[in-house]
Amino acid sequence: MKAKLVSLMMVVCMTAALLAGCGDGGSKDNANTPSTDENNGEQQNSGDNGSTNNKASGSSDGEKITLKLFHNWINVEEAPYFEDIAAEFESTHENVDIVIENVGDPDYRSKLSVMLGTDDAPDIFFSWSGESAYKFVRAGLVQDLTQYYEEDIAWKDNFVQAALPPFEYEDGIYGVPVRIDCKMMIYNKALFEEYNIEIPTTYEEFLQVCETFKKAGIIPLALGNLEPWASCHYISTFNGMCVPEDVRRMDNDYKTGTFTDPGYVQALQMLQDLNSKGYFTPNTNAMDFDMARNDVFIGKAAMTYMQSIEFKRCQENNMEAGVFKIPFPEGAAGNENLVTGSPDGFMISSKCEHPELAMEFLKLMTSKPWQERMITQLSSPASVQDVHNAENSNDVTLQAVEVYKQADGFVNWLDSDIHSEIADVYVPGLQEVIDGSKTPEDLMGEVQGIAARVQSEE
Amino acid sequence: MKAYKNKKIIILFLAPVVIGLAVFVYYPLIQTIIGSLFEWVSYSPDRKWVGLENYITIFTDKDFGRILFNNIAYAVISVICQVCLAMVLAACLEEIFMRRFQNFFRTVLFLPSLISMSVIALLWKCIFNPNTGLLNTFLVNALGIENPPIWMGDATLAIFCCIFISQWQYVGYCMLLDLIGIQKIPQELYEAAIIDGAGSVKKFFYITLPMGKESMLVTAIITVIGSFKIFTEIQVLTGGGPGKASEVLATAMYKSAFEMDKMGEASAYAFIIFAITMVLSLVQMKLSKTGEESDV
Repeated sequence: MKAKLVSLMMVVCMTAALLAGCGDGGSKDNANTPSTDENNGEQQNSGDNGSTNNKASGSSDGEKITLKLFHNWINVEEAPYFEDIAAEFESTHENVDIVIENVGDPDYRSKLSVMLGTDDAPDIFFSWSGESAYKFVRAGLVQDLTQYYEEDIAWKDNFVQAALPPFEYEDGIYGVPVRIDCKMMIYNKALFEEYNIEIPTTYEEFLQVCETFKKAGIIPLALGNLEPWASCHYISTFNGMCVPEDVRRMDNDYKTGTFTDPGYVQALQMLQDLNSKGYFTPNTNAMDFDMARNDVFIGKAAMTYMQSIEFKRCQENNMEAGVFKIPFPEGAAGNENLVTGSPDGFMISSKCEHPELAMEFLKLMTSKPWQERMITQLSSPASVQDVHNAENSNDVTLQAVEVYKQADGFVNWLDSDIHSEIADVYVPGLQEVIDGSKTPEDLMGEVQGIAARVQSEE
Repeated sequence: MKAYKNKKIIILFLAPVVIGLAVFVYYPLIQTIIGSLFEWVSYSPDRKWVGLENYITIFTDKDFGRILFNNIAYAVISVICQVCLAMVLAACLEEIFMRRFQNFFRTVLFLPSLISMSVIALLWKCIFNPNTGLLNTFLVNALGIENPPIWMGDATLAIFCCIFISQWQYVGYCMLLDLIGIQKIPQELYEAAIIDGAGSVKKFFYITLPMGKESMLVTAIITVIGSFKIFTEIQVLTGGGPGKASEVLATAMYKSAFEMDKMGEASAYAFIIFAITMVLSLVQMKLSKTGEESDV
């Protein structure tokens, strides 16, 4: 009898352990790089899952409302920003409980897609702009926020205006930009002074500067292209320069995209030339991005193309840095006054039952004090105007802000601006164009082929 | 021992495993097969029946040959290193004059398999770094080679760099499995062989190899299946690049699923991986007639 009891208990325990082991919400996408595994599953109050469904009605009469927030800041210095802002929001909205969940990149993208398809979708979630956001709009997974913008014109006008169009799709606006990330050429001031070099104002001069450094035995442009998104940022810029803006916009929409403009080949040629002339880090396709970039900090390289959210690294590495926009090549067909980059922001799920509260929360995030903390704590340039000043931002950021404030708009990162199937051919192909194993014409031929296929399939 | 006769207890004990397998292995497997016949995305419940189109797309993809070649290269080299070489290493360590150092070598060779892949990737990225890395510095300075290869940036070499790192990591692990197998072989056989005048090589071919067949089969299945499931190594080392030169089945599946959101195609990839590993392990088990280990 005793043996029976013991065995019964064991069975119960084993079954429970089995179920508990599999109950971890994050286990679905564990087929990922282990480097991010440690960062996964930093869930808070995960026991509250699904609670949005339980409080369908009567939320105003004192019943707790839960808003689920999903973002991808996992760094220990950065993640508390969201806990603090949630606490402030909760203190003014007593019946609201904000449940935060965060997962690092690149798992964030995949987990978000999966979550949005379930009943457990987050109410408010971080999203990149452009095609990354549009695909959710097309699937009807996010709310149209146009009415909120129209109701509060002052709030709308306060944004850096170029930050809004990347969240607009057809007639609606579907996201709230909270930060701006743009790409600028960072240079080592000490090296520029040593070699008596002025900031280039034309593309010819830019190539000349590269040549001078190359002759001096200094890497002109630090670039590690082992992962091709690094060169993808260059091609985003060059496409913006070489392809007329309206053509590029047509091509980015997979329903109309053909990629037949000669500007695309020209842009790839510019990229290939930079490598064949020896301006990029040698063997760039074999170099890790971070390792190559660090050459700038130690004076082995003169310049590197850097995202504004990374600018703080110059300070951290005690490098006196300057910043400029890659000059526009004479006679190119694109718009000169564009900045490479994009606003990032938050979207509200169409399943969210209290969009007005979610919107209030996002308005808090775009208020001046929280945008200031965005700058200092998350080292992300603000999406609203007149927040940056000498106290909360470093020199290079201030200069970058000055540039994009006057810009006509953004050239979004190519890989998040075009259909993912086209990007799957275009972006890895950049490595082959750089090492010369594929010609720009061949790659664009392949891109045209896949674009036609995507168009016929969808 | 009464418990063995009690059917209820037997069922109770089996229940967790059977339920677990059914819910977490067989159900998803069937779902995957069904899913591979539809076109669908992760964030929408709508599915469009496409039949075998996902499979046709994969098989007619111009990169599929390369992907399959990479996986096969992985499997062949892994079998050579992790099955054959590991067995030789294990036999060497079991040699009488090596026994004193056995613990040392066992630990040293086993150690890499304990390190997390992301750490290993970082380590080898430094070594393979063509400009400042250990390997090319050695090739240039010590051997005077002028144009050393650029390793992971080279379309031909990238996959072999990844394969090499895998072998470095797991050869010790397989060796340990083989070592246990060898230690199971009765010493009398070796003693008799020595009396008959057999040298180390003969002992290896006539005793160790036939008797260690079972453990070699285990390592062979593990490595071959592992080679077709290989993902992390490629993802963190090259991401499938340059271009798509080092893409394998699992990274292609990952890209379909999470970058392009073509869940149907990804399910088809998953099923292809499953089918290949299933067939290969059945063949291996058939060939080696496992379970018929002759009693000694």
